[in-house]
Amino acid sequence: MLSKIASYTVVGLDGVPVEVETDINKGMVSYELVGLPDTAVKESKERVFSAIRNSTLRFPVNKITVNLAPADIKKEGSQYDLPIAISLLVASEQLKADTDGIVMLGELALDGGLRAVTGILPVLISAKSKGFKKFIVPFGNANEASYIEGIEVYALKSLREAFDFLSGTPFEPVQVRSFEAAKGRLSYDCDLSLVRGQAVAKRALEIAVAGGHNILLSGPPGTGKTMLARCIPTIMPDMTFEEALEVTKILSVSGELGEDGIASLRPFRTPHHTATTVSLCGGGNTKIKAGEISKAHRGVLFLDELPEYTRGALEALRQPLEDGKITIARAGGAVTFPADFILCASMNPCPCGNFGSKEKTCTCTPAQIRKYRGKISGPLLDRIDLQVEVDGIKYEELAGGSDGEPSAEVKKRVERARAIQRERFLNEEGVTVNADMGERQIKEYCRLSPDCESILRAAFERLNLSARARSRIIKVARTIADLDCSEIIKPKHILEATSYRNFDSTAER
Amino acid sequence: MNYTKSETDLIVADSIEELNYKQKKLLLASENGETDDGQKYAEALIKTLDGGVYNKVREKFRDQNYRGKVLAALDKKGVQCVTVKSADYPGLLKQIPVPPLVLYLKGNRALLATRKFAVVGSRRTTAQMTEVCKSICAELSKKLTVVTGVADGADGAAAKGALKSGNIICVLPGGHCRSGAANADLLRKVEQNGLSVSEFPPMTRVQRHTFLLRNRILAGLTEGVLVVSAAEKSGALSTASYAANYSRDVFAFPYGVGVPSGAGCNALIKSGAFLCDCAEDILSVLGIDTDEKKKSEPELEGDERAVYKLLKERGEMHAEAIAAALGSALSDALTVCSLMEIKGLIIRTGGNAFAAI
Repeated sequence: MLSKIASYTVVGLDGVPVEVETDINKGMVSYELVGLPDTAVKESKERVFSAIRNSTLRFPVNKITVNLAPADIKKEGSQYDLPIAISLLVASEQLKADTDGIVMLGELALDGGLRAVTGILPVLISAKSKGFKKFIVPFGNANEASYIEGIEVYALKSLREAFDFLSGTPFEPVQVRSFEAAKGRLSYDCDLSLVRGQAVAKRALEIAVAGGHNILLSGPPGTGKTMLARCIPTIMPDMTFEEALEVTKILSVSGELGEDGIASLRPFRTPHHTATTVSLCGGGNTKIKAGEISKAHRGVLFLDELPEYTRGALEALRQPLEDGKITIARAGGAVTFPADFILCASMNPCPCGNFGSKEKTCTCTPAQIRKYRGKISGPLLDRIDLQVEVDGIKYEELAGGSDGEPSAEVKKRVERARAIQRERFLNEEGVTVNADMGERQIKEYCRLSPDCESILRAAFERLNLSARARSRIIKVARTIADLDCSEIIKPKHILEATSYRNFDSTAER
Repeated sequence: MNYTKSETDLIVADSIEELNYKQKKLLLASENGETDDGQKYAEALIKTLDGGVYNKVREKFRDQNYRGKVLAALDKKGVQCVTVKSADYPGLLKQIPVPPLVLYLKGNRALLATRKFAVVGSRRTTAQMTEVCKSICAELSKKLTVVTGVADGADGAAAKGALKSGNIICVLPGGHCRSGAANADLLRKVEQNGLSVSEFPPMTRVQRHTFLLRNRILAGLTEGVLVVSAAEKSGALSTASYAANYSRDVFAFPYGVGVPSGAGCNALIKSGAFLCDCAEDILSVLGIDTDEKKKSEPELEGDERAVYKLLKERGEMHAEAIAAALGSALSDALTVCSLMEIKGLIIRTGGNAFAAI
């Protein structure tokens, strides 16, 4: 007899339907699996055999052909175990049930248990839009499946339960949970108030987050650059449900989703500087996987010791920094992953790390420093609006230093500034924050008074700024004005913005 | 360029790589037809050279073809020469023990005849002293020609400061075609507005010892030397010691105890160099009238005035400390500092700290 069971695979971040067809016929005893299966799928034959036998069911002894359709997509992973087993049971007429319209996914253990698989969320979202309403998933994926409304998801523990469920035994579907509740469960493990001193850098972080600007922190080793960077997500506005789903999809496909089943915190990714271009941007031969920049989507990509990364890896960041997404084309097809993140990079001011330090002496020659900084190309620096020095000053040295402001306070100001920007860019396609502005938007939304123009001109002459620093300064000034709730850009905003261009001028010296 | 016979002799002799300074002089003397001692000098030269080499060198020296090539190559590269026999060879330089036979020039040759003063220093100079050096050189260059190198740090700052007036000579540590790669931009500007000088033919590579030879010219060309910064062991100190040997005046910036880039300067002052912290200090020693216009306090108001006073009194200060002293928000303090930086009153000294100039 012939049976058909609906299942899904994931290509990029989208679910693609796969039909599992099983035909049992008279003939020489054999068990064939066709339809471009990879090794993990082929091995499912053995798992399915044991799982059926150990669930006190019978494995048919006949000529068996299992086909995964469409036959032109390469099938990867272990999620076809469950649909294959069920279709075998249906085809061998042990299970007499209507399996139409039920999407099944799950890996089988040899004892017949169901193990969690990756990529459940993208499948549910895609299948729901295709009209599927009923799903059987492993119990381990229950949390991940609980945030989608309007579908019935049954999270089952074993093949036997699936058999019983399909035979008519009632099971409770997964309860839909709200994102709001999930948000409260986790919190960031750092806070700006824990960083002592560093007021300049903190202020720069606030501006960076408010305007979506990328930021470069440079300073001697041990001055808290990493700590500061870790605080960036804590001052970013909370993710909306839509944003959370985008992030969850990527983590789900990568198999990095936490216990909670949804990403309620903004991601903070710190790939090591030995990372390859592919691991940063994504890629792969048969199945294209998301890279670190996509896993940092809606969050922060922190590149510590920026000059140590390979040139190729850094240059590859340029296009996604511009577009907020990356399209990876391989022989097997092209996939687009979102990659809208704030880039936070850190570096030492010179190879020995002590340039500009008050306590230690720098042993580098100016030529060495030039070479070190030259590792970061101009076009990449163009996309980093804020370049700040993190100083090694001792906290005790500051007269009247006060305790740091908690992240929550800063976040309020950031949210207010973001609200102003949302309103401003309501009619602009693809522009949501100041950092996204192109030349046209700068002209339209950042009109400068003659005062500001003359200050900017003087700054350029005196401080030896490059021409490309101009639009950077104006964009940052716009954000500072937004934080100040000021409609127009005032001279003081321009002046403050020029003080965050450390890299341009010190490189000249 | 047209050169006289004796000038051409010198240039051609200088272009022969096989010979050292003494041998070049012997060759010139032996080939000089006016006296009868030619044979004597030739014998002396042969003593120091392999016989074959002597013949080759003499052939080369006499070969009209070779002579033409040397001069044409110089013209093509835009390099002029001034020789010890030339009228405008700097008089001061003639006094030193081993004056270069030929100086290779690019730029405004007339500067050789002016009064000259050398400003030298280490590549590693603090941001504040770099800035002070720049402004003093701007001041000096109104009265004198500033002579310096083209390296990063103090030399570069001196050149930048004096560039505007055009009274700037950079002395190169190698041939014109092989020097100053790191600061090619600056060197080009110097050659447009001022002059670059080298004792080496254009294709000579820069080597360690050529820096020391160059330092002797820096000291020899000038009436005095200002050492902007020098660690305990520094090339700037070799210039200073040449200057002392040639009985030129030596000046040095004072530094605090324990500043590594100032240890050499303090040592110079200890052993009798003039302490210098403004252009007048130098001009008065050299007997040049100053305008007697002491640098007046800039007229400032409000926060700017307070910040300027703070930095003048306390020296270098961190942005946070400035904000705390003003009792204002950090962003306001940064705004004021930025404005004053643009006005050229203060500079960033790294690590978010500022200092008054």
